[in-house]
Amino acid sequence: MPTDFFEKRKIITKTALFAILASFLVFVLMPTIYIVSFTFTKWGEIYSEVFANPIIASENWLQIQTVLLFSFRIALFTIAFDFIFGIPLAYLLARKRFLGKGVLEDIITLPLVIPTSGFGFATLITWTTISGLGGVLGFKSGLLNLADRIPVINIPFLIFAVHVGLTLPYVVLTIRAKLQELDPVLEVASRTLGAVSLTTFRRIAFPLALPGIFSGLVLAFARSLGETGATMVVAGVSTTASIAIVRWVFEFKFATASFLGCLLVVIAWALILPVEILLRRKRRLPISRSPLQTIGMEGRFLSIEKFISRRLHHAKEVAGITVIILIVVVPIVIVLNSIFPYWFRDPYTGRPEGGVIHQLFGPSNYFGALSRATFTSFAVAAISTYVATCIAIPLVYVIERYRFGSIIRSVLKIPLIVPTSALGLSVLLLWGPRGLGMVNPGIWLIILTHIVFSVPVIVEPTIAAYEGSEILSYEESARTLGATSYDATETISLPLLKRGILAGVILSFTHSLGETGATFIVMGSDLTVPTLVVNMVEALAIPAALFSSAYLIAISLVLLAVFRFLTRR
Amino acid sequence: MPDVRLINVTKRFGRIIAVDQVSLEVSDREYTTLLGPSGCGKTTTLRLIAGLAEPDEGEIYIGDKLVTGLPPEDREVGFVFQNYALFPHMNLWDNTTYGPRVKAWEEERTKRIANEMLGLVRLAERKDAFPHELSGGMQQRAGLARALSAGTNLLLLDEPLGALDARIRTELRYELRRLVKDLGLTAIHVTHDQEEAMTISDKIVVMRRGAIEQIGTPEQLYLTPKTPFIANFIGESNFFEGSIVKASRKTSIVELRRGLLIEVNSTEWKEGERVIIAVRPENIKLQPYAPADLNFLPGLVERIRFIGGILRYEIRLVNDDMVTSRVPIETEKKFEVGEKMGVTLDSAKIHVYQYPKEGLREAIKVE
Repeated sequence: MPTDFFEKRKIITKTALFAILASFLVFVLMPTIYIVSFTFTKWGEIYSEVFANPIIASENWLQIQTVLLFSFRIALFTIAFDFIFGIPLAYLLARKRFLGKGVLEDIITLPLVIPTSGFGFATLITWTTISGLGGVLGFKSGLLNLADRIPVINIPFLIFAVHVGLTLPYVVLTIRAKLQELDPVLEVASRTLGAVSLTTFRRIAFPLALPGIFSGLVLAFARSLGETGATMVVAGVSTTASIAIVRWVFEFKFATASFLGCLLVVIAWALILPVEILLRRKRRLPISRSPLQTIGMEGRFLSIEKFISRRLHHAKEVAGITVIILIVVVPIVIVLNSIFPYWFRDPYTGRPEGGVIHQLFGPSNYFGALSRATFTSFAVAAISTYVATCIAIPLVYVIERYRFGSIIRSVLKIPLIVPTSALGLSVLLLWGPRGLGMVNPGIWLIILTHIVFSVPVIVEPTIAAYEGSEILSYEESARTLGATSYDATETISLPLLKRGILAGVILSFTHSLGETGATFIVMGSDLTVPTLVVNMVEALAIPAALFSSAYLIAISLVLLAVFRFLTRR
Repeated sequence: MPDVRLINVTKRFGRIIAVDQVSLEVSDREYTTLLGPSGCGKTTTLRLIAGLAEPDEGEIYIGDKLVTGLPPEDREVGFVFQNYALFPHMNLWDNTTYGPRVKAWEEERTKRIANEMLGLVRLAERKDAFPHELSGGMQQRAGLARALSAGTNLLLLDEPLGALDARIRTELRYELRRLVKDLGLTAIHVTHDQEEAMTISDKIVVMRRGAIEQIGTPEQLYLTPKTPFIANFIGESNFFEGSIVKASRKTSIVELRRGLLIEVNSTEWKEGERVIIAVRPENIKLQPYAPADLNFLPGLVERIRFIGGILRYEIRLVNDDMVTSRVPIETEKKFEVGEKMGVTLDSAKIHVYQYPKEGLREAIKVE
């Protein structure tokens, strides 16, 4: 073959690589980090608005501190709670076989796929209204008030419930995956040496799974810090950092909002990078001896563990499952179930204005708004998923075949943990009228925003499928049989990756359909269904919100079923 | 005294019966091996004794204590795993003291026993090493020290030498037995390697399809196999199908295919009964060619293999049955491949079995 041929091929390869990296840079990386650079380029503006406002002085800076501290407190207690209740659930799923395990898995994954604002609304209805638990238990009002706080930790109960519901899946699923990697024979060995099950967990499974536990908690912390959609619905007068960004954007306090957004992005980076490095190294943490031994508490602990393992055998699993049911299942069931009594009229006052039909087709004509929003939502989900797939598949090849691939993989985690409202703001500042001025708020800007997080959502399952099969050796054998590099990709790799790609596409579609926080900032007048739900709640059109939430949840349940069908073999 | 008794123990996994009505007694200070092909239920039996699985029926006693229903940590057994199962995040010292520590023994006693055990397995120098820094043989010795430090007199070993190189495996065999005997322990050792079982055990329990096939000392199993399966699985045997043509008070005469006749010292048969006879290769003597006669079977050398100090002849008899014979290499008369010759069988060392319902091939199958 002439050297010319190889020269040409080299050029093609280089061009393709360049195109892939360029689209990654433009569509994923730049939007995520733009907000940080914005802080440097527009520092003068930020300084005069945040720190030295002529009228309110540093009031904005004080507010930033307040909301950040509040968000941190929520995130900390959320992961503490996740830790206590998540570990037994993860252990249960990783080690035990029992009837209904598949159902439990689905329930735990549910919060990852249902739209956050719909979930927030479901939680709101369940705890604060007579249609919720209050009515079920026979009270004449809701069980709680919107502003009720959990004593001692002083966090509004509803915000806490929503954050636990939305972060628990991350904790349970990451720890479960790590526990499944561990050889159960180590735990068996510990039992034969005389340790009860709880001691075995503390001395063997826990230290070995620590990296997984750690990364699960960091992920949960970042999610809690960035949660916007559901929090907006249940927050009432409380303001978390991510909600503050949305509020300030609508008050045109762009400098303050972007400074807070920048802080949140930097925090997210600072959290995820050490964990990534720690996991890359795969070194075991040297926790050989029990730390309790050194302080002389080991003996007492052993007897407590013995007591719990013998007497309260299933208490911890039961507690975890109860939490999941109360926080995830009950709200969803109540929302789906409440539509029927509200269909024609408010069941408590009897007024038809309080019924679903009236609100949808009456003077406020929410039906029209909902149809438009549905169209927008599906168009956004379809287009952003399509574009993201086109970027994600070549990107998987780059990640797997080049040495700098692991860096791209780590960077791809960032859009998933950056607070969504900060991400929305970053996209708005980059492409919007105040930045490059290329796209105005509206459906196209929503699509650009959704592409940012859709790419990593598709890349992860595809990589999993790639690493699960021995594609490289199959491709090589195809090459030895006479297939060209392109043929091998088309006939060998893509069919083998099909399931992984499909799973990623469906996840991305669901994610896009349910995204609330970022959409809120970039949507202009093109509402999507989740943002419409937030607007309905704010307009106190509860029956309409009820209908829309149920509708959203139903769609995502169908998508979850499809996802399950595709990923289960 | 940790003698172990299993009474009618059954364990099912769904529709598969892994252990079927097994009754077994292991005496104090005895080295017993559970031997059988994979899937025969030997590992499950061991796990039932350790409490890693619960039987569906039957009772298990360790000493005088009924242990069915007790969790593994309360059974006071030492368990040694095929893949060592050393805790990867602990060094040897912490692995070895793990048992005493979780049992909250006094520090003095913990240190004394751990030191003693590490010394016994010749790893006292390596107590700061982590498992991944040690060779397979060392890891398994460490696994042994760890099991023994937990203060047990009953050692359960699940294919403990299975993951090791052939050379280390044979070395460790003797070390294992010596240790068990020196410390006066009771050991139950699971293996599928019949050679390992023969060299290490006081008593072998051969299992097949969830049930016990035969229990005996290595010599008993080799010299008097109760079934064709044992004759085939322990050592090697030649099998012939035939039927009894004459049963007298002292001997019986078996007719093989094509009328070849063999006299056997077994008398519990009726004339006309279908039987199988089994003969070890070393009990088949090579002879110069002669016409067929009682106990003389003419044939042809088909293949000769050299195995160490032994020659292994494969001979096709005139009735097309194949026979294997093993003779020491110095034997004077040598035959060539293709040469016509004959074999004689030692009547006293022939085993006769009733013809199995499922056929010979199925009856001796090692699955």
